[in-house]
This record gives sequence, structure tokens and C-alpha cells, in this order.
Amino acid sequence: MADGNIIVELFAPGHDPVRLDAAAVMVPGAAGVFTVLPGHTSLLSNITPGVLIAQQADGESEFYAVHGGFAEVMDDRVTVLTDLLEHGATLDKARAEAAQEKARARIRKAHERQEFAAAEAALARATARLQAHAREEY
Amino acid sequence: MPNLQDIKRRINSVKSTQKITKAMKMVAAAKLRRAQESIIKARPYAHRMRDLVNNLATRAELDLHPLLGKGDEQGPVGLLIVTGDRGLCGAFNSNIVQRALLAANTEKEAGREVQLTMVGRKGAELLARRYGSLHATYDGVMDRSPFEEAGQIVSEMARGFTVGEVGEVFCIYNEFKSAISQTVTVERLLPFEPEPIKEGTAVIDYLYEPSSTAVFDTLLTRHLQIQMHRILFESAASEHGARMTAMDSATTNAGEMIDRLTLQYNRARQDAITTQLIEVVSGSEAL
Repeated sequence: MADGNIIVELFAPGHDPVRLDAAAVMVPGAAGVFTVLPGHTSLLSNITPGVLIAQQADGESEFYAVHGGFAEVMDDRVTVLTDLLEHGATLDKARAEAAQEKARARIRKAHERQEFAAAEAALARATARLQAHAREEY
Repeated sequence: MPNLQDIKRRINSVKSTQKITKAMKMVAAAKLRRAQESIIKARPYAHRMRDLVNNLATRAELDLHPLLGKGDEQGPVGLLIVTGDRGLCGAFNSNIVQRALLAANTEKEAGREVQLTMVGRKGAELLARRYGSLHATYDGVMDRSPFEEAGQIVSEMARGFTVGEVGEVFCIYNEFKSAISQTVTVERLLPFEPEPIKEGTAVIDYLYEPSSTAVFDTLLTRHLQIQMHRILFESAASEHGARMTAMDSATTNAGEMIDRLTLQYNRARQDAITTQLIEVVSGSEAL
């Protein structure tokens, strides 16, 4: 079990499922980023907006922005169910940057707790997109 | 024999009906294409989610969360029936209502209380007439935001389940197969169905991050909402498919009717001409 690859499957509503082979996967868990290597124990985690990185055996990596949801690790298989899935290469950088600016401005102006939480979430999403686009490692 | 004027009027009326059914068919076809796309894209996520939750129900300790409860197979049963808001779609609504009545009566004979929740105005009207009291009705769901509405429907359902008002919840809806075929499906939403354990495999519970309660809270409610959302889309796609087929045959029928009436009209006209000719001929002979 300890050698070989991990199968990564990414699902999101309105998105065709993505299937990848990887040597290691980094997942933005709710309790912090965790790395899954072959032989990982069964795990079920909430995930936060962030970047999912699938490192292939040849050193190449795939970057995906994921926006909340769940990750299941079982038998060298990582299944991610996220609300929104975006491949780093297809992301619109300018738009994400604009969204990040807007979210920052909203946070500064926010008075109510709810307003603040919504702006924070928007900021987290925009940041995740930018990181995925820039192929930023953790 | 009806006179020419009458037949002419009927032909025109059938023609305008045909125009309407033809237009409805086109509209349904366009909506169907969009609905079909969204259901096909929604399915993999929803199905994987269901597998995950069933898997979880196998592994986790069931008393960790009220929604993971075993339910009560003898207690009151909740039926969630998904129909359309509009008619003119063939047997779409009545098929569902019939299946729902059958299910409700079977459960009643088994001595269980039945709680009916309706989604869709048309089915609610039909069922209220034929069954009586409904627990709750939702309409216009697809016209507003289906995802939020799905959340509301399931949160009421989950509440009923956790306080023990219902021991089981089934959903009856039309599953979309293709434009011309929909199947009435009965699916158990609650309690979740643990997967049968394969022999010789050890069942190990997951590690949970950040904690089992946090994961369950979000995952289980999310799961119900996603399933409900999928069911709403299945039903919507089926409805458009059913309407397209129904309107297609209505258009064909109207065409046949116009042909028949036109034949009748021509015959009546020919008759009238013949009669007039005979009159002229016999009149001239009489001179």
C-alpha cells in the first residue's frame, strides 16, 4: 500500500468530474492544510476555500481552487466534493484580483457581523483563485 | 350535415389550438435541453455524495448525530412527493399522484401514520382532492432559487425526523431517463442506508477533521440539500420531456383533425354544388 499512486477524484455541482493520478495531494482542510501520501489512514475532513495541489510522480503539479466542501481519504483514494471547482490554468487573474480588492474594501467598511463574514468568505475565495493561478506551493 | 360555415369555424379553431401546442412543444424542447444539461452535470456530484454518506453510516457510530439515527420502520412515515406546477404534460402529474396514493394506502394498511409533503402546485391540487390533508406544500420552487428551496424543504424534513415526528422519509419523483421516458422512482432519504459490509474487511471509522460533530453537521445537511436539489432537477427535466411529448402528440392529433374536417368541408361544399346544379338543371327542364 505504501508505494504507488493515489487516485484523486474531484467533484463539484455543474462541473464534470476530474480524475487524477498523483504521488501526493495537498488539501486545504478546515483544521489546516494536510498532505495525503499513499497509505494514509481513512479521513473525512471539511475543507475551506484554498488550493488543492496534486503532485505527480514526475514532479509536475496540478493546481485547483476549491471552495469549501469535503474531502474523503480512503484506500489511497482522495475524493473531494466541493461547492465550486476551478482549474488554476483556466482562472481569470484580473477578475480574481478585482474581487480580492473589492472584498478587502468591504471588510474595511463592514459593520455587522454577517456582512463581515460574507466579505471574508469572498476574500478567501479570491485569494484561493489567485494562488491556484500563480501555482503557489504551500 | 353541419353547414359549411360551422365546419370552417371548427377548422380555424383547431388550427389555432395546433399553433399553441406547437409553440408549447418548442418551448418545452428548449427548456428540456437546458434542464437535461444541468441534471447530467449535477448527477456525479450528488451520487458521489450519497455514496460517501452511506459509507459514513456504515462506519460511524450512529448516536453521534441525530440525523444518523436508525429511524423507526414501524413509526409514522413521511412521503415527499415531487410533481410539476403546471399541467398539459400528459400523465406526468397523475402518474406520480397515483404512485403516491398507492404508497400512502399501503403504509396506512400496515398501520402507520402517513405525512404527505407536496412539491408542485398541480400534484398538490390533485392529491388534496383525492387524499385529504397534506402536511406541507411548496410551489413555484423551480421559478425561484431551487437550491435555497431545496434547503428549506429538507430542513423541515430533517427536523421532523430528528424530533421523531416521522420514522422514515421517502421521496417519490420522476427520474429523468430521456425526453420520451421518465420513471416514477421511490427513494428513501432518511434514515441513511449503511452499505452492506463485505466479508473479511475490517470496518474502520474515519478520522475526522476538525471534529466528527463539525463534519457531520455540515456534511449531512448538505447531503440532504444536494439530493433534494438533484431530485428537483430530475423532476423538472422529466416534466419538460413529458410536456414535449404530450404537445407533440397533441399537434399531430390536431393535424389529423384538420385533415378530417377539411375532407368533410370539401364534401359538404361538393354536395351543395351538386344540389344547386340539380336545381338549375331540373328548373330549366321544367320550362
